Amino acid sequence: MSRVTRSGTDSEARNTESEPRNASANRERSRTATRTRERRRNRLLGGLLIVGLWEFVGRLSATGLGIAPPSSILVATVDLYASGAIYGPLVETVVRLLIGYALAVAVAVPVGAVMGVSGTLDELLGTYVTIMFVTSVASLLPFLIIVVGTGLGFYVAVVFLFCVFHMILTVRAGTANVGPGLVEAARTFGATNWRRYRYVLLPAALPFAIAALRIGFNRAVKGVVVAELWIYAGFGSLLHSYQRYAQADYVFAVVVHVMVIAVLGVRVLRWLEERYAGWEGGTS
Amino acid sequence: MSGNRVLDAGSDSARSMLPARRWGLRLLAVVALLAGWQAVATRSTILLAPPTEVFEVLLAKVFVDRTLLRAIVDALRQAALGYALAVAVGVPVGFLVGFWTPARDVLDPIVDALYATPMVALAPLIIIWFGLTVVAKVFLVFVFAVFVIIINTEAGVTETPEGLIEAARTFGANDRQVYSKVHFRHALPYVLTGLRLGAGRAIRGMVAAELFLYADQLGQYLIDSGATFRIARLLAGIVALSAVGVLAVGAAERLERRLVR
Repeated sequence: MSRVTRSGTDSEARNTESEPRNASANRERSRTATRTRERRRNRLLGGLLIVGLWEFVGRLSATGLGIAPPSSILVATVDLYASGAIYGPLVETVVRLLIGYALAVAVAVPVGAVMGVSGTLDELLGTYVTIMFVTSVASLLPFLIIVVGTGLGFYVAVVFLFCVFHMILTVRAGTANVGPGLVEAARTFGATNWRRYRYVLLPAALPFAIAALRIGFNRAVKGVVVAELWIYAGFGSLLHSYQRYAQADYVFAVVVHVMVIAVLGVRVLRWLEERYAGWEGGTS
Repeated sequence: MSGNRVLDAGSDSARSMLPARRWGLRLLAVVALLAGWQAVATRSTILLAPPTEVFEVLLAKVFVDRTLLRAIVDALRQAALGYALAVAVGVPVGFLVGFWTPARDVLDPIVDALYATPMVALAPLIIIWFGLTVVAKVFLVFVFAVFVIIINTEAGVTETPEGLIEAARTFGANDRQVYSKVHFRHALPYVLTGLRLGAGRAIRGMVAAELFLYADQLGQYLIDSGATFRIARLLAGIVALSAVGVLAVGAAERLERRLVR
């Protein structure tokens, strides 16, 4: 549920910042430009300040406290590539992530759409979805091992369970949100059932579907990390092996990779969302 | 509430259903689940325990020998500490970032990125920093919960409508009054939403801390049950944890409803 908040507030903030809407658009635009420049400067200065402080504190505390200074994280990152240690785990992790995510999308979109359209099925399936939504997937880990073993299936199952329910609920909200008025109007103008779905429901629900993909991707990344730290593999085994020797700089370097995957995926999907959101303006 | 705008959207539009029918359907779903579970479980007893047995074990572990109850209460104590810290840091930082634009410019992308990061990935770092201690667990719960609180608080402040502020100024409000009476009031429901979401995440953080840092009673309960194939015991633990999550979020929700009228 939490991710949804972010999407809501975020897109809203972005819209009000980037779209001058009233008559004094020109003045407004120049103000936005100044604001953008100011923000960029603040980010640069603030970023430098933070990195500088971090470096300073990290150097002072030496290696004992594990506050690896940024420079040593950079060195560790370069070494991860130079030694080739990162490639295998990276591919492993991304493949597991994508398999579980793709399966979840394949299930969540139809199920969510059906729940959004039919009140009866919504109540029936919604009960299960809600039960699973409130269950902490991490607590299922010992159980999942028993059921699906420790092979590829385990990772895929964890990723799937992490993201599928969030996506179902978002897609459901999207289809349920297409006002009955819109569907009614289509019916009045003689649209057949199929056409109502294809030309009214689908385009209206599309932004939600993409929002669901974005929310789901973020959850999927969480899922793959949890799974790989439970049964060490991919990034998980990398993180674990560096942690055992207290190599904080290497751990940081791997964590940064996880962050980049999470943030990049979400960025791409948000870009798609903004592109296809149309005049309705995103997820709101 | 802005919190679940997406999830709640449309819940009234298509949902014009008789309550009796709605509850009937829900009941049907639960009964079907339990019946199917029972049927599968009696056929393969290795992988799944029948719900009747799970329920029995649950009652025994919570009310009779209380292993599970004690384990959860013990873990909850750490979760509460981490959550309290998250509130104590998250709300002021959220206000700071909301009010002071330069801070927002700098911190927004950082908070965003951290919010998108799987917190469990930080577990190895936390072990390096704090070792296998209670402090490590409290810290993991803290990072699980703090960012939602910051983000929601910030949103509450920054989304205060210009009109409200202007109206207050027109009626002669000074800076302090604008902050305390307009921004603060407007932010309150958002803050409370943040606290509710944070409570749910704190419970997740607690489970993660038990499983990924070191296993105390709760983690041992889950791991041992799984390792020795005591499925009913394991499932009872999972069910109890879900119930705790629901209760924690429910309590936060009640607080929210009481404070926001």
